[in-house]
Amino acid sequence: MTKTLSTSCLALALLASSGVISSVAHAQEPPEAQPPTDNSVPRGGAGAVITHPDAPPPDKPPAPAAPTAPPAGFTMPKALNYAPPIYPPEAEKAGLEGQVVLSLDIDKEGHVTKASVAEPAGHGFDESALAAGRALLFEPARKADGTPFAARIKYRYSFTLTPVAPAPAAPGESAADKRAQSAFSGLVLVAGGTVPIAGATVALSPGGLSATTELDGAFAFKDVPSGKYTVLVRAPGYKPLSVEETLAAGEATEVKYRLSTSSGALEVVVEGDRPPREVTKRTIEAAEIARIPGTNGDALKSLQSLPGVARPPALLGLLIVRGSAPNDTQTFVDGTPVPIIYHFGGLSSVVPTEVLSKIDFYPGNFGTQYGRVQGGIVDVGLRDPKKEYHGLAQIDLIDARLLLEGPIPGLAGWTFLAAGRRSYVDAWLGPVLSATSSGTTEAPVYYDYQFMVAKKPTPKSSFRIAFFGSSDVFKIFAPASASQPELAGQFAFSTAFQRLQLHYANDFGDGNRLNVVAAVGRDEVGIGLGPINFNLDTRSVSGRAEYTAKLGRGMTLNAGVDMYGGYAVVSAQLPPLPVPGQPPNGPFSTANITTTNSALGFFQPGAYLEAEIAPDGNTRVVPGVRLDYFDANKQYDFSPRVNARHDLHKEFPRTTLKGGVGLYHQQPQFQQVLPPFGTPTVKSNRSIQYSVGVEQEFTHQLEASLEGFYKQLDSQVTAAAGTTASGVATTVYNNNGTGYVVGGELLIKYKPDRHFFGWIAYTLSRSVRSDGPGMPEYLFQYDQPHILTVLGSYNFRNGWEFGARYRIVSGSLVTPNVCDVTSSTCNAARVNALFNAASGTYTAIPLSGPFSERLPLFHELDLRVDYTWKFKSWQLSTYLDVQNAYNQANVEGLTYNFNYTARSYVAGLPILPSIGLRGEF
Amino acid sequence: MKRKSPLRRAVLASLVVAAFVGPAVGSGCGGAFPPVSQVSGLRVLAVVADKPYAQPGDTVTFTMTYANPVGAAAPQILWLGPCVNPPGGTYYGCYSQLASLMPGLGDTFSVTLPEDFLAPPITQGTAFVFFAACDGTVGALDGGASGGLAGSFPLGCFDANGQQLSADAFVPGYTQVYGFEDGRTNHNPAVTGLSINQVPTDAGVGDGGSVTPCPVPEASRLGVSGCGKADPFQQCQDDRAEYQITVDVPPGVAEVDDANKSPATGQPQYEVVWVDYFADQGDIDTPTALINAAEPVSDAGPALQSSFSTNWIAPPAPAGDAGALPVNIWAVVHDNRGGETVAHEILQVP
Repeated sequence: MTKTLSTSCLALALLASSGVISSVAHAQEPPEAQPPTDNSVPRGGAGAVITHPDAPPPDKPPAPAAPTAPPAGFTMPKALNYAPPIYPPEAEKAGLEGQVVLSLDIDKEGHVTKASVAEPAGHGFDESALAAGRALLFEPARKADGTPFAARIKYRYSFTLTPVAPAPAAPGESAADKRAQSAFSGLVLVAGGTVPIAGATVALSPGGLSATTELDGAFAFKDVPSGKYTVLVRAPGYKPLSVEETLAAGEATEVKYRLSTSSGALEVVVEGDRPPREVTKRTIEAAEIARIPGTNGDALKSLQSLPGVARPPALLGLLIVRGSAPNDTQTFVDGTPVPIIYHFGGLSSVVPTEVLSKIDFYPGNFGTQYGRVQGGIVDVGLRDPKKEYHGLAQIDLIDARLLLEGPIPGLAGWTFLAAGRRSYVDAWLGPVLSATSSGTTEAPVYYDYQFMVAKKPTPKSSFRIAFFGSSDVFKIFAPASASQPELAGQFAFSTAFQRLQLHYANDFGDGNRLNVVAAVGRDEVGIGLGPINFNLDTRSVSGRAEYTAKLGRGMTLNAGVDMYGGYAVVSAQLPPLPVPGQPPNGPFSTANITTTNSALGFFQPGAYLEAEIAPDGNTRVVPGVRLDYFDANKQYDFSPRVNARHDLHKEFPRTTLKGGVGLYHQQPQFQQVLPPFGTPTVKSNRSIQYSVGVEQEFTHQLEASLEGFYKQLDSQVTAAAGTTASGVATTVYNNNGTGYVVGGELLIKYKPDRHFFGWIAYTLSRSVRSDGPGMPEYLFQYDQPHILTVLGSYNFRNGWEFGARYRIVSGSLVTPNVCDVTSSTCNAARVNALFNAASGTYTAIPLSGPFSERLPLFHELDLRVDYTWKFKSWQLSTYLDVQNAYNQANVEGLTYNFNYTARSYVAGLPILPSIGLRGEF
Repeated sequence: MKRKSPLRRAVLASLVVAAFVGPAVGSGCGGAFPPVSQVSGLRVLAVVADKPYAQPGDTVTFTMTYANPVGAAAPQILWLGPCVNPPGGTYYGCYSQLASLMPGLGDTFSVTLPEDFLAPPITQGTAFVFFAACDGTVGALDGGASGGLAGSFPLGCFDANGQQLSADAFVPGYTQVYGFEDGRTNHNPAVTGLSINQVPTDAGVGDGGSVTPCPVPEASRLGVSGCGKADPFQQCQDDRAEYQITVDVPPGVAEVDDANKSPATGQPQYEVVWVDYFADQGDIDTPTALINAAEPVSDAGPALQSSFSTNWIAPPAPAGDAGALPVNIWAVVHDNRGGETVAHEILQVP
């Protein structure tokens, strides 16, 4: 029997094994809540982990070694047609065979929205299989209630060269004719439908005769001796079928055999959602990230549209979470702390959206795996490189970016990703500024970069090395001021960081996992103006290792250690403080500059232990403890916490109650504790955080979350006037500060569907501080009582997409020196400043307490329009993103004349359009 | 200078602001306030003590230089002092004893420092003197609420009907003299006059000469940087209506401050000297200039800055038959130890 080209290539449709259906986060379609696979409480949309479709999120349940049967009522996708691939001519000529396993993303309509090669075969087989796979149409996967949902399956094409049939049909003789003359013929179909199975083997025993089904599933035996036979039908991915047939002499027998899919055919990695360990974990889906107006497609900027996040002052990329200071919130990249999350001016974040796999945001009551801050946590995850080559280029008014990723040639299993972005607004802004007679001649320059290589040593383990960093430089020409004649010339501010990170994760099965991340890094901050400059260079080592052990039904233990340490070098050229005989508010910039160099080491280890207890399928309680150490003041901080979730109604429409209480510590800043400026005995800031809330599903797309929170602050580090041992006035730090933050957050969210997504977020809060016992309370600097954000995006499915975001936020607090003349209580004749004749300057007399006046209400409309051209192998998008569409002059601060007899509002950003172009293959 | 079309300027300006408003604000474009160098209304420009450093028993005489709109009556100038070594060494530490301080009226005020000014254990003393220039009558105010340690200044300015006048008619302030056990001294910087375009004006205050008016209307000017408005320094330069103003100081204007040695070398250093320029008409482009930095003492003497001039453009010509418009130019030279000297010239805009 010789193999000839006349036998067509065989394609075997292999649906994913029965068992757990993997869910996919697609760029256009969201993942649905996973059917529970253990006793955990499903989270629903508000708490779902989500992300990039190709990156399995961390902390996921293990893939089963032997897939189990699907939950009752759930049905898998069923192919409605068959698209045979073309056998690559060169491979045919060379007599090559191969198997290609595709990964197919199937949407809720049964369309194949994405096809990628999971197991390549090369030689043109991959491309042929991809082309055929994309043409398939499926009956979508469905839940028990019939709701369709998106799914990802494996699909195998086998390219084999089979023997020629021994008796070719006579010219003009069709297959139907052949069947009519055959003693035994029939069709092999998929069970439950009419989909034929090509390439199935039909064997007759005894006799040793066998035939292979054609593309239409037909087989035929000619001149088969009559008698009783055992017919064995086999096809890969299907359960074999054995049937007893009796063939009568001189009679033609036609049959139809239907095969059921078999289990264990191909392992499927389950990407279900791990139940949360925290009360509130807000996640922004991949489908939403790039479409939120006013953020220019920047995922991390979209955090500012979530409840609990206050609006930062204009051009400052700060995160103000639940009434806390910006430095009370820590940002991580895959568990490695980074100093900043936004570039200068808040124009974009330091990690571009394209390399993100997830953004986890915890506004408060976070679990014990995080510590050392009392505000919020932002933990972004980098995704692994894709297994096929992919690239993009994007350019807009502010910056340009490139990305390339794919398999590393010559290194099986290894993939790489290289991405970079640089702003170029400085290239054109300078001449524009000069043309408009501005005193400024420079503009910010920033760039960021990400390089990584990754490999999955086993299907359940992953290893990645990543190097990423960011740099921001801003220079401005500053003319001499009346009070500081030496502070003139170029003002420069720069900040940069780099991290080299190793990440290893292993799923041992049975709920046991190990997750390790370690990084070395460098942070640099530099400020300079005239003869004055300050530079801080920090080298750090950080790491985290967490082991998860499933102790039994409904009981999981998480244990981990983390650390942050290193050394910092401070180099400063600063003028000395005024000495006796010199007026205090004279031009300090003219004094003789002193150079200071100092270095200090720091070490901050931590350890935590946490249990996830699910006594039944509706309840989850997560108690934990954390211990931190700060070597600067030799202080240990013990932080117990507990969070809980309970499903009042588990099935749709789900109703979940949630709550938590915990103790949180934040170590004092270095300058507050280290000599000579600090007080070595000062302890950590402390807060007790309470939260309680409810999540409610209304429809499959619409859900709401309502949460109340209270943070009790004590032992807050405050500064007070004191004297040194020699009687010199100095600043002394203590832990006398207190305060509280109370508020509520409402999020009504319409989850992304084919056309629309959006949400309404409202936060009502109050943040108060006091500097000591018996001291009066005052509103905290970042208090914003009302924050309302309404946003939505509509996809017309014809390439056009339109989005809008509207925000109304309480004005920021300022410390006024001059009263508002429009106010009825303003005394225009008040003495606001005294003239200090010795130095020729005016000394302001504050009008009222610190941060005692609220600026006018902030409101702004942002719009976004996208259009995408999709080509065969690439797509091109263009967008227009307009911030402050109706050019509202929002007030960001106050400015005064030289003698504080008048004041004026300082307006923030005016209308800011940005046009971009993006190509992606 | 080529004029740009309004549309192009508007588009470019929008791009500028759209891209980055922060530096534009920092550069002076954000606010619309007159610069500090522009004198309008009642202004106190300097209070010169004849002895910035003094000893117990010394009599120190303070002389105020002020400016008032042309034709306005001379203001009432009230003095209170000396407040010697107040708690905390701050001016507002004197508030509790203001009522008991010696008062004075007029342009000058003399105080005699008490013998306990430097009584042991005090080795460094500070004496504050308060002043208030008022276009009415100075009177006491209730302290009232204030948000800082400084409280509220307890004096105000009232008209004939007892109504409190605004800050344009009332300039309160303070100055101070220092005393040291080691008897160190400090002299006011030496100033010989002003030069216009490098030509010294006549000795004394008087007719400094006529200048060419700049035709750009006042309403079209906004400080020095254009910020979208006409830049008179560019437009009037060709019209020869821009003048270089320089305060004339001797090469040794900076004294040796041997009490405050250089932290880097441990050697004595020269005191810092700078100048503030003022004008009641026209525009000044650089209100402050450094004359001498804190450099180590050398045999060659202090190395003054290569330039501490400013440029000034005249106002438009006076309208109608108003006659020549007098313009006052002041230069107040400070050292960083409380010393100061005033130079004053009057120019004429025909």
